[in-house]
Amino acid sequence: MRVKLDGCTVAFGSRTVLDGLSAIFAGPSMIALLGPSGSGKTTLLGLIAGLVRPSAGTVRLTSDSSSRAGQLPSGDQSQGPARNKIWDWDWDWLVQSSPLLNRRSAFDNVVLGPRSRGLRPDAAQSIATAMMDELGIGQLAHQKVYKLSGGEKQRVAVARSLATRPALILADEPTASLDASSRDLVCHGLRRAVIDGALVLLATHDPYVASQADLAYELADGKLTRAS
Amino acid sequence: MRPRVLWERPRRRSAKNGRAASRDGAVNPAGRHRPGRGGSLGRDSGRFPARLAISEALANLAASPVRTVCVALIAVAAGAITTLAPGFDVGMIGDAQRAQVAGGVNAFRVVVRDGGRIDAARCDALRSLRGVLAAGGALHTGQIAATVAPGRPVALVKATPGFAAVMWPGLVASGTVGRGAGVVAGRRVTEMAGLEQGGVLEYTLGGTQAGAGLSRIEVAAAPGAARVYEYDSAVVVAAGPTGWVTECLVEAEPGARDAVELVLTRWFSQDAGAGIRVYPWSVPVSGEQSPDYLLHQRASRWVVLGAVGLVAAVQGFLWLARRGETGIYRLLGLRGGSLAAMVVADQMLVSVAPFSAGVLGAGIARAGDLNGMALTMTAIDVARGYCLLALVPLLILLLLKTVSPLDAIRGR
Repeated sequence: MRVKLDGCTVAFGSRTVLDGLSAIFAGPSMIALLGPSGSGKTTLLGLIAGLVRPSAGTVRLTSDSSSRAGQLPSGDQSQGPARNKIWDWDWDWLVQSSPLLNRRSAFDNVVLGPRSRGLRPDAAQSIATAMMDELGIGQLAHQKVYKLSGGEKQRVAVARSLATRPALILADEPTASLDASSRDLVCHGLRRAVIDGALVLLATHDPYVASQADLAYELADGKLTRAS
Repeated sequence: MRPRVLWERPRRRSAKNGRAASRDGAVNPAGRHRPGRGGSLGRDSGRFPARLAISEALANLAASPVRTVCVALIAVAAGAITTLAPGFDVGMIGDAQRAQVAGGVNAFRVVVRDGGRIDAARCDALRSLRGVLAAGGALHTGQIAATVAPGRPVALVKATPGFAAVMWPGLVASGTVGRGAGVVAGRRVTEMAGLEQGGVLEYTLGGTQAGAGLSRIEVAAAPGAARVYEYDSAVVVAAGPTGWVTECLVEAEPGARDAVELVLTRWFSQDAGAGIRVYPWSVPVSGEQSPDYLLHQRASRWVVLGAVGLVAAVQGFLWLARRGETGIYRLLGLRGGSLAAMVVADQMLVSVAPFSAGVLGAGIARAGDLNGMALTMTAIDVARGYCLLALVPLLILLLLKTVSPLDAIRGR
């Protein structure tokens, strides 16, 4: 997976959040995006996901796994929800409170990932079981999601993501509000995704989480610079 | 610690560059996936297969039993009311029809072949409102002054025996006329004069002075209100009809023609040696009173629309309320055909099946009460109900067009 940003500018009213930003993120790797609140980390992830349309510039995603290339147009292209293109990609989005089927069991949520990719039930269940064990939630497999704590839910979401094996994971503060052990397990899961070949873009405030990344960039004043 | 590799991404043949890649793999007992081996880990269909969408729909229903049961009960009620409403409507229309028959609106016209005549007394004896009128009915009306209620005029009506019978239907049932009372006083007259059954009314003819030409008459009290309001203030004196009439009218429902013809043939056999003919006859009624119009305009046709509309509204609301859930499925690749399969499977279980149960239950409960017309109307409405129900999944799919994975990400 490769994400190429070319001169992307995003402005909300008179405030320019991203200013002619150009960068290339290539996987498999885990890239941390650092910066103070309001610096545009989430906007950058949203731009890549197609949630935010640039007022200038282009976002280009290429994947060698699916050999499908999509291009998010710049804001001057008038019509069409171009962001829908990204839904055809093999990607996942992890947020502070990742979406799950609350009335279903944790195992159902995790197994849904590989099943949605067309894997047969027995294979999907094997993968889901292994992923949940690896993230320390094997014993919660049959618990309803709404009964789980925030950290456990987040690990269920990461387990589903790993079991689905997306080429791109956009993680927006996935470890915020988690305790240290849950944070370690989520980081471990994200590293697993990288080993499996994914590009992980991780927006975080947490220096420990950033230290787990292969690369770290700092976002300030709409510009992206390599963090030390 | 380096995480162990559990499985490799299944690689597909590229449509663009034609690169070959392994499609599937296998899982060993330890859960390790080996690419390129084929076997149990192989894809069984494309991304988010329809079969998975259907099983997810069923699992989601099972995961929320209270909601599922509540929604299904609404559909059961919709099916039941759709089945019952036409029966009530047709019953009301039937009552209106019977009232029309009782009012002499629907009748058969009886004539003798070759221009023959009918004995007026036999026509009157049928106690048919129109027949009585055809036989003479009220022959003469005058004013009398009852001595017990001076200054309050009472009508004295000379009429055929049948006239009193049809004007106060209870007379026949109580046998008053049969006992030969011959004179019937309307309800207001009996109240005014304080008369009882078989009482005597003293009166003078209108215009005569008090005390002159005083008459006494034994009267039978009318059993209730007269069909025509003005006869409550009248005394009806029976005077047998004489002579002949060219036709007689007999009230009956339109569907009873054969039976009426059979009875009347025997009844008039003495008069009509050449036989009789029976023709439908009706008082012209306004279009809004005709049965066809009433059936066409019946309220139950809106009941089915309302009932299924309620089901559609509830379903649409619930699906929109679960847009986050749908967004997750869309995030995982749920698309057109599979999404439609999911919605249809859901609707089959929470709408169509309970609606059918409601139809069946109400149908069994009311089977004995439904006549042919009610059954026909019920069948029409139930068919309409199913047609409308078939539109509910389309409506839901239309609503879900506004749902995107963003709804899941944003936690809606």
